[in-house]
Amino acid sequence: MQRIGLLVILLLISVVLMPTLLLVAFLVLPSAMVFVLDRGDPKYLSLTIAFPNVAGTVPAILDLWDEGQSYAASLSLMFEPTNIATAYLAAAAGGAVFLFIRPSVKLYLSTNSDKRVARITKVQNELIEAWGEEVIGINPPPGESTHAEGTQVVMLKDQAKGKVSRED
Amino acid sequence: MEQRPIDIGDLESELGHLKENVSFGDRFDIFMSTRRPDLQSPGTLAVEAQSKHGGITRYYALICQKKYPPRQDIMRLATRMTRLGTVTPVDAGVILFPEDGVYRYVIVFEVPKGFRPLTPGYPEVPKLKDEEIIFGFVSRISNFLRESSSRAIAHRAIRADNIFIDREMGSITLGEFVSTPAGLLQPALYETIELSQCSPLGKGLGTHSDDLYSFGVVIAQLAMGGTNCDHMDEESIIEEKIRRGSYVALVGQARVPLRLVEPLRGLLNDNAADRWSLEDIDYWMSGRQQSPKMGGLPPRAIRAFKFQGKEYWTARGLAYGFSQHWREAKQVVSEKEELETWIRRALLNEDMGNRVRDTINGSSGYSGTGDAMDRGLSTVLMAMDSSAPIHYRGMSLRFNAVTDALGLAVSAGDDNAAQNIQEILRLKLPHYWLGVKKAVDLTAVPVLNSLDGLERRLAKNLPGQGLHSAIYDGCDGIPCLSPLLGKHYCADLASLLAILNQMAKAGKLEGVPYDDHILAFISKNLKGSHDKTLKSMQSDDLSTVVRSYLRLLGHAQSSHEGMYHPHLTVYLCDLLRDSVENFKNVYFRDEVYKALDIVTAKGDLDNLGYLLDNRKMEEQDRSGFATAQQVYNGLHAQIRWLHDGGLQTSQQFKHMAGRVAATTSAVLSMLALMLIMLNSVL
Repeated sequence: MQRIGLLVILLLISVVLMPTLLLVAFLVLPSAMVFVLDRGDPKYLSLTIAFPNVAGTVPAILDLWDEGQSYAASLSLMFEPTNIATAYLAAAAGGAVFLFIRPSVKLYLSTNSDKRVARITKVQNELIEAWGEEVIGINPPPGESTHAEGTQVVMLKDQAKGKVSRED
Repeated sequence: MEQRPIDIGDLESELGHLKENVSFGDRFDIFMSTRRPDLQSPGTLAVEAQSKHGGITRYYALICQKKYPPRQDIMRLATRMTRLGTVTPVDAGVILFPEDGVYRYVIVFEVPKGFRPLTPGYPEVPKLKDEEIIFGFVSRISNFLRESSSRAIAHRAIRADNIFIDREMGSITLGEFVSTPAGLLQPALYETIELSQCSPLGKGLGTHSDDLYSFGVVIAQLAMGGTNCDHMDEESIIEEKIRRGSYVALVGQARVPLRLVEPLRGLLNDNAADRWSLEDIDYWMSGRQQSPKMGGLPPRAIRAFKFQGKEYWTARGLAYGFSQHWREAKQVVSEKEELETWIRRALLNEDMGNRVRDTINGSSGYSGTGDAMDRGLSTVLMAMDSSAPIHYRGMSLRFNAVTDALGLAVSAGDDNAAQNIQEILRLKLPHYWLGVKKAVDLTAVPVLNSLDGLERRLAKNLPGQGLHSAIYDGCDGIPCLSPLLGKHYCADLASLLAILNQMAKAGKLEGVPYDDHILAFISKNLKGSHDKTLKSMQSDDLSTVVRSYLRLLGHAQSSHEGMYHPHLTVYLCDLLRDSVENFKNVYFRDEVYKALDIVTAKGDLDNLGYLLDNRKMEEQDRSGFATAQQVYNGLHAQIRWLHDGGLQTSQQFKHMAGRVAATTSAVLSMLALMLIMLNSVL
């Protein structure tokens, strides 16, 4: 019964908000198209475009609600160049953000990579200090054993500095 | 001077140069410059000794030799047998002579009163009155014999030159009996017919009955001022005893105090079963008359058997003659008809003839082994005289003395005797000897078992096993005979470690200081089974050998609390120092070095073994190193991946960039929305 009631309420609201829904559907077309084309998982590109696109539809919706939310007003606002420009340019801005944020991230990762190399080298030096040059051995080709277990390194350090005792 | 069955030399020439006093623990001072030849036992050096605690008791010390070692196995028991009219040890043990840095076995005794007959100054056995003999000797020594019998110890050195006659007190004290192997120096005169035929090394530990016989001989000597056989050579004495019986041979028609005739007949009975016991002596002492049986003489042949220029009239005599001329006897036995005919027709003994024939025929099965005739002759001699010892190639030993004889033969460096004893075992001559006995002897069963065990041990082929293991397992109280130990006397594990430590201190150790003797000696004296460790000593890898040896020495040391050997520890540590270098972990290696410094300074072999022979530590180091290598390689691969721009090109980068873009977009959109809303409100 509750579900039926809820459906009835939603139906009533959608009937009441139909002009708004039509307006929004037209103005978020770019997001919809990108959503269809975006093969990513998660769909970061779609999200990046959708957020400003939706934000760009808000002025048109406010205008519609000011004019009494009629179908005529909805159609009128739908084809008003300002509203179209606002919504679509906002979507375009989202696309621009997606494009231009990548170099920054790349730069950040590059810096981070150097720090990680320095950190790993330090651990390697500690291993050489504890086990001698022989620990270098023959290095495997890239791609195999791509990462060291942090816990294992800690364990080795402990073992390396372990005291000689008769406790077995 | 008494004849000796064996010349064991003396220590005068070897120890003559030693003049410094030696400390025997905290109990005695040994004065090396004050010799006591009047108290010296054959093969030893007697010197004055003094208690460190003062007192009026006078002591002397006998320094023993290694070749013919003292009776270490009974030493502790013997020290408890005091005030029984016998010189018994007060203290004994291995001590260091600082002057030449050699460990020697020393026994301390109280100085007895009186003089020793048949020694320089007293060349003859004095003739004593029967009262002196009965109350001064028989009565006193009976007490000792009773006590020794209850402790299953045989004196085996009851002879005229080993008694101290105190004419003032009218007492006679029996000399010491622990400085040389039991019965080794006992001349044939004092031995039963069976024992007198034995080689000096083959007499075994002896029995209470053997002591009683010797006791009887000394009584006869004291009663008559010597016996009829005193000046005969060994072979003649034995032949005379066989021919006439001991009593007649020794006493004959000589005048003996009437009161002593009974005990002499009883104690000199050649049949051990009929020989007087201590109870018989007690009866006699209490005045009761007894009629001791006379030992029967062996049957006499109607014509003599001529062999090596002598005429033999009895099977026992001929068997003894054969045993003394082995090679010629083999020739006679190979022509079996002559001997068999003599036994059947002259000795009129068909049973013996059959046994001899069967024996000779049976031994033909051994032809081709090279020992066939030796075995044949040995078994023929057993068939001819079942009471005689086992004869084999000039070696004669008691059935229950085989294990001891083997140890003593090796100790004396008599390789030929050692070889013969091993052959006696291999040819199962003791089994045969027991088989020809008329009466079943249940006491022989454990002896046979031990001989079988000895034979099995001889067949083992591990370091410290085989002959060496047989020596130490079969002969209790024998010192370690390792040539590596040189002049040092090694009586037990404590002295072995002390000697090795002393040698390390003097820089006299080379390589890994062990040999089969040392390993067998350790195996015998160390509790538990060490086969695995001994097996590992066969390794070609030196460090494995040293570690195994260290394991044994460590166990030996830990079995003696509070004993440390710093020089030996340093020496062995140096042999294994490379193994510490093999530890991959630098910190760990440093820790081990620090621990080694502590252990070597203390001389703790057990912990040295723990540090240098610890598979768990090695395994930890090895596995730790393998993991470290793996981790290092992983890290290396990670660096290469980062250098190759792994972060910028990977899926991870795409995700990160997308996430950052979406987040930025959401934040900016929210800001724009807030501005729009604010604008519409205003």
